[in-house]
Parts: sequence; structure tokens; C-alpha cells
Amino acid sequence: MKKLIILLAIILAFLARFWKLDTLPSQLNIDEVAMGYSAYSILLTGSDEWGEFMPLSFASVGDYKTPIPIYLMALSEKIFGLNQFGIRFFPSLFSFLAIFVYFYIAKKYFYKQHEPVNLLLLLLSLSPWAIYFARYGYEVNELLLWFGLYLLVFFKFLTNPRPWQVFSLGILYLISSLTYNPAKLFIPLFSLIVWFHHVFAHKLLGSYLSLLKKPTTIMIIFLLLFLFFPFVTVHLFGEGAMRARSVFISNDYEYARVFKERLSILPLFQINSIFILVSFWWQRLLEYFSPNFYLFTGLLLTSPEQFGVGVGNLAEYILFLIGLISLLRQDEKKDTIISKKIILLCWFIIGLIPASLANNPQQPLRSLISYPAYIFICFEGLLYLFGKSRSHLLCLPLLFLYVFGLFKSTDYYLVHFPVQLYESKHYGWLDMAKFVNDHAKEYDRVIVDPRFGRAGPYIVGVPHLYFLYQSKYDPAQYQSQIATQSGKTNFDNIYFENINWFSDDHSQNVLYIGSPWSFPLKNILPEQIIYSVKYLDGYQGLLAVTNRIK
Amino acid sequence: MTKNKTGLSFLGTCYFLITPILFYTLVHVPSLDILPIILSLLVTIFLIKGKFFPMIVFMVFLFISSEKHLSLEGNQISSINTQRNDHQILNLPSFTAKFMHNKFDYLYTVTSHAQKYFSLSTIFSAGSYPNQINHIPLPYLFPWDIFLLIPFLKNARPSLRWLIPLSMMFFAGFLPWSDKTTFYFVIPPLLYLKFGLARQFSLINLKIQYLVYLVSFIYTSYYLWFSSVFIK
Repeated sequence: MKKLIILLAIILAFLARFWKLDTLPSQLNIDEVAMGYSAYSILLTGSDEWGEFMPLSFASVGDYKTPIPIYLMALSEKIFGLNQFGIRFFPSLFSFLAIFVYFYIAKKYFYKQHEPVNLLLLLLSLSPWAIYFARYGYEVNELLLWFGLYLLVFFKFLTNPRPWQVFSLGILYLISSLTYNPAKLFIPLFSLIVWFHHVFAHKLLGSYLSLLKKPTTIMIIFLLLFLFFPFVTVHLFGEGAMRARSVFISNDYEYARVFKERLSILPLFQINSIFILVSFWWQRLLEYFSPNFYLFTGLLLTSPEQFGVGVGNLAEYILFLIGLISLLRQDEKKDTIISKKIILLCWFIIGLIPASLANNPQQPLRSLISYPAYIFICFEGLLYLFGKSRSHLLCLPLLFLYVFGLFKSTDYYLVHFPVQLYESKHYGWLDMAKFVNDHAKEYDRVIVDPRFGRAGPYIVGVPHLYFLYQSKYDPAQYQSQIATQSGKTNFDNIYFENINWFSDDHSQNVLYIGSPWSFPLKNILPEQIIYSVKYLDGYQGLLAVTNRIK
Repeated sequence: MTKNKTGLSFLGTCYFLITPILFYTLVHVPSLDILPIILSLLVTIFLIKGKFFPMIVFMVFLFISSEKHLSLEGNQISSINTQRNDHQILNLPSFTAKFMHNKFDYLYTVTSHAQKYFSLSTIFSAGSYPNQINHIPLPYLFPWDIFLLIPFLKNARPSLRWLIPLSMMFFAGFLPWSDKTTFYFVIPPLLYLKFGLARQFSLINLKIQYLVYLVSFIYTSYYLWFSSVFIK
């Protein structure tokens, strides 16, 4: 039975992450396409699309992406080519492998042999939180594996500290931080709190100090400082930190535009601002504990006014609450070296801190590192129920709710997400890029409006990346072209700028790509609209309009 | 420091009495203050004396306040229809749409409302009243009360009486969000919680109690000053 559950978990985890990976989600989103083309550029030229040779931080679309996922993506593009599968392969693989690392950790450090740990593997495999992001080429999936490996070494370090473990921890921290930005804060905070608790609970400060006095440890620390130098200069203080600065909570619309404006009428503006900023951050952190995040809205698969699904489901959440209370009430033995209670609580809460420090509330992507801890706590709830007599009275309804929850998540993922959020995920641009790449040579110029959105020009995208990706445009040629432009991304005869139909020079043969509101449709003949991309709900999204009738 | 029968020390009682939520009602709608006091009394009588009649009166209040909100509202029906339509767009069999999207979704609305009143975020960080004007993130209880919640949950004995504040939290989900009357149904379970937290406060080191009390007093004063400026 145990082996059967493991086999089932492996099959389900694999299918959930790899089945139709090249077509589900149907198109690449803005981050995937940006990373995909940067990786392609590295693969063919050794430089990113801006001409920077082997960068430690990728400027990309101005958000300075971490390097390791892009270099790994270059490897997968070498094997599978520049396509959706090639872009998504490593993140999905890492998400898949991470499950087994956490399962191993659970078996080795947290649970006894007679406990049904295999069910934990099943819960980890089927978590909607993990599956949804594993099918995108997001960096955080890779962090899940690196952090699992970090935990393995960290637990060894806590049980029997050795100098080589300090080195391994340093390297794994470096890799994690170069994989996903929130790891820079999460891993040291988590490690320090768990380590301090461990040292003071077991009175081990002396033994750690003696480890520090060993020449090997000193050498290792110097070696790590040397290795960390470029990381510190580029990623903590340099351009790699720009992303963190730009998304920091103080730039949040609600704080910067609403609260600060109100505070301006009060005396002691600075003090009040700090007080409100701290209160605002506290609110953002606690919002991650709200049931709606786990039950209705967490995955952001529908429009805001619609019913939706959370990062978990009702059964998981009930188990989570039971598990949390059960965990809090557990009294661990004094000689317990790896404190499951402290580790799981710290992991879950600290994993939410980097996300809470960024703008936008309840971000399931930035908080994904907390997902394994969330599932571990759910499993604690399950163990509590198993330990009770008549537990089957609750377990059966929970099983029903769990299966129904999985169906519900699948329904939202496969049906409502593509229909309702087609536009906000920038879908449609790839279809348009394919059309333009086939016909661009027939025109003097092609003008692409980067603004789009059915309600008006509220979304500004980076369409040039879709055009580059779709045509597999030679990165060397692109680098040479944009080197002569100041910050612009035009190439060949394709220009990315706002459409001003009336003021534009119509003496040339021009193809315009834009949204319906980009054009004076009353003045345009139907024959001038030579191609259009319809969203799944029938709305005419992007139009290709020529100023000449052939 | 001696403790009274309920296990609340003198300082613990003082700590209870400077809770922001008590000042909320005084600052905002004094004419309606009587309602939460009555509701709190009803719950307290039930919890201490174990008499059911006050709870029945409470539930009647709740039922009257919920008015038309015990059934699906227009926007909820519209949401269900839109989602069924999504199935049609993808040419899926109609039974899948009916199975997935039906009146059971109302449970989600109820839970969603209840969590708006009683989530950690509302209680300990941003329970601004009335909520449609999101002035500044100020809580119902003190932000640091959350640290008392952990020992409170750890030491709490499971009891059927717990079901009452829990069910009140759930039933509050039937009430329209941002309604002034609703707010007063939120107060009794929160006071019940605060009472438990104040008892927990009474158990900590006396010096820390004084320090926390001082900080709390300053916080409440600051809080009232803010409220007086922003909430008219």
C-alpha cells in the first residue's frame, strides 16, 4: 500500500507538471518570453539582448532578473529549442524534484517510520499552489529545490557541525539568491532564527565558537567572502537590487498615493509616515493568513469580482488550522535537536515576509517558498486526526472535500483562467507576432502600439520580445541594432511606439498593430483590417490595420 | 499582583479597557453604542452562566440585521452565470458547468464575509471603521496581541462554548459587508477574544506587563488622535 501511494504520487506529480507543458498555459507570459529570449541570446552570442557579456544580473525589461534560471534556460533551449517546452522545462523539473527532497527531509528528520509520510508526498504533489507556478517558467520553482538541499545541509549542520557544511551552506545560499530575489532575505532570516533557537535551547554556543576557531573554518569563511564579493556588489547594492527597490512596499500605490497624501495634513509627517508604513506592512503580512488567500482568491485565476480559487482548498485549509493548533500544543522533548515545531512555523511565516515587503497584497508567487511548510502543517492536521478515535467520521468528508477541491482548481485553471485572464496575461501577442513576421516585408514600416487592454490604454507591454521570440530573431543582429538606439527596442522595419493615426505620415505603406481604440474605426474601411486576434470570449483584442487598400 | 476570580490581574483589566475597539464605538457612532453593549452582555451571560435565552435573542438580532442577505445577491448570480458561460465558450458539456458553479458558491461568499470581519489582518492590523473608507491601517486590538494569541490557543481547553463565538463569526458572514449594524456584531466575539488575551497578559512577567501597558497606552492615544483627524 505504501509503495502504491508513492507510485501514485510520482505519477500524479509528473503529470501535473509535465502533461501538455508546451500548450498549457496556452501562451508564454511576459516573464517567460523575456527570460526565454535572454537565454536564447546567451546561447548564441554569450551576451544578453542588450549586449552585456555573461551578466550576473539580466537587465531584461528593466527588472534586472537573477542569472541562474536564465543560464539554465539557455541549456534547455540548446536541447529543446526556443519554444514553450524549452522555456518551462527546468522550472517544472525542479518543482518535481523538490517534492522528493522535502519528502526525504520529512522522513529523515520530522516523522517516525510508522507514520503515514507517504500521504505527505501525495499532498505535496497535488498542491494547486505548486502546480500552477510549476507550469510557468518562474524562477521560484528552482528555488524550491535549492532550498530543500539547503535544508538538508542545514539540518546536518545543526546535528553535527562541520566546517565543510559552512561552505556548502554558503554556496547553496549564493545559488538560491542568484535564482530568486526573495531568497536573499528569507534564507538568512530563517537560518538565524532557527539556529539561535537551537543554540540557546541546547546551550551549544561554546561548541559553535570552537568551530569558528578552527583554521579550516576561517579559511572557508574567507573563501566565501571572496566568492560573495561580486554577489554583494551586484545583487545587494548594485543593479541586482533594483528590482527589490522598485517593488518595495513604500512604492505601493495605496501607501504612496493614498496614505502619505492624507498624512501630509498632519504635523510630524516623517514619524507618522514611518508608523503608517510599519502598520501597512503588518497588514500586508497578516493578509497572507486570511482564509480567502487559501480558499477563494489566492491563485488569481479569475477577474477580481468573480468567485475564484485559493492556493489550497477547503480540506487542506481545515487540516492546516487543525495542524497549526496541534503544532502549537506539541511539547517536544528537551533533547530534540531538529525542532519540527520551530522549523515549520519559522519556515511558513518567514517565507511570507519577503512577499509582504513587496507591493501588491497576497502574492502567491513571491510567497511560494512557504508552500512546503503549509503542506507540512496540513499533514500535521492529518496526523492529529489519525490519532483520534472515530477520526474516520471527519476523514471521509475531508477526502470528499479534497477531491472536490482538486476538481474545482482544475476547472478554474483549464476553463476560467484562459477565458477571463486572456488579456492580462498578454495572450494574443504571439499570434499577432507570427502574422507580422510573415508580412512585415510587404510594408515600409510596421508600427506596434505597446499599450493594450479592452478598457483603454491601461496595460503597457513589451511586444518586441514576442516578435523577437516568434521569429527567433538573430540575437547578434538585434544587439547591433539596439546599440544605436537610446533605450528603444525597434528592429528591422518594426517600430514599437504609440499609434497616432491622424498625425502619422501616411505617405508610406504602413502596417499598424494596436487595440481597437488605437484606430479611428469609423474612418477605416473593413478591408483595411487585415488581421485580428480575438480573445476567447469573442472580444476583438489586437488589430493589424494598413493605411492602404490593396 | 493579585488576580480576581476570572484570572484577570488589575493590570490585565486595565489592558483590556484600553483596547482600541472599545474606543472605536465611542468615537464614531455614540448613538449606536448601546447595541454592541447589549450584544456583548448577551454573549457574556451565555458564556458565564450557560443560559441559552440570551443567545437566542442575539441570533434574532442577527437574523433581523441580515434582512435580504440570506440568499444569493445579484452580483453572485451574475458571477455564477458568467462562469457557466465560460464553459459554453469552450464547448464543454453543460453538466460540468452546473456541477462546478451553483448555489453552493454562496458558502464561499459567507466565509469570505466572515473572514473580512475576523481575519488576523482585520483584527490586528486594519479593521478601520467604517470600512468603506479605508483611512489608515489601524486595528481592532493591539498588533502585539497576536503574540498572546499563540499561548492563548495553546492553553485553551476545547469546549462547546467555543462554538458560540466561532459560529457568530460564521453567521456574521451572512451580513452585508461594510454595514454599520454589522460592525456591532463583530464586537462581542472580539471582546471575548480580547478577554482571553488579557488573561494571558496577566500571566506574563510583571515588568513586561508594565512596559506593554505603557506602549499600549501611548498607541491608543496616538490612535485616537489619528481617528479624530481622519474619521468625521
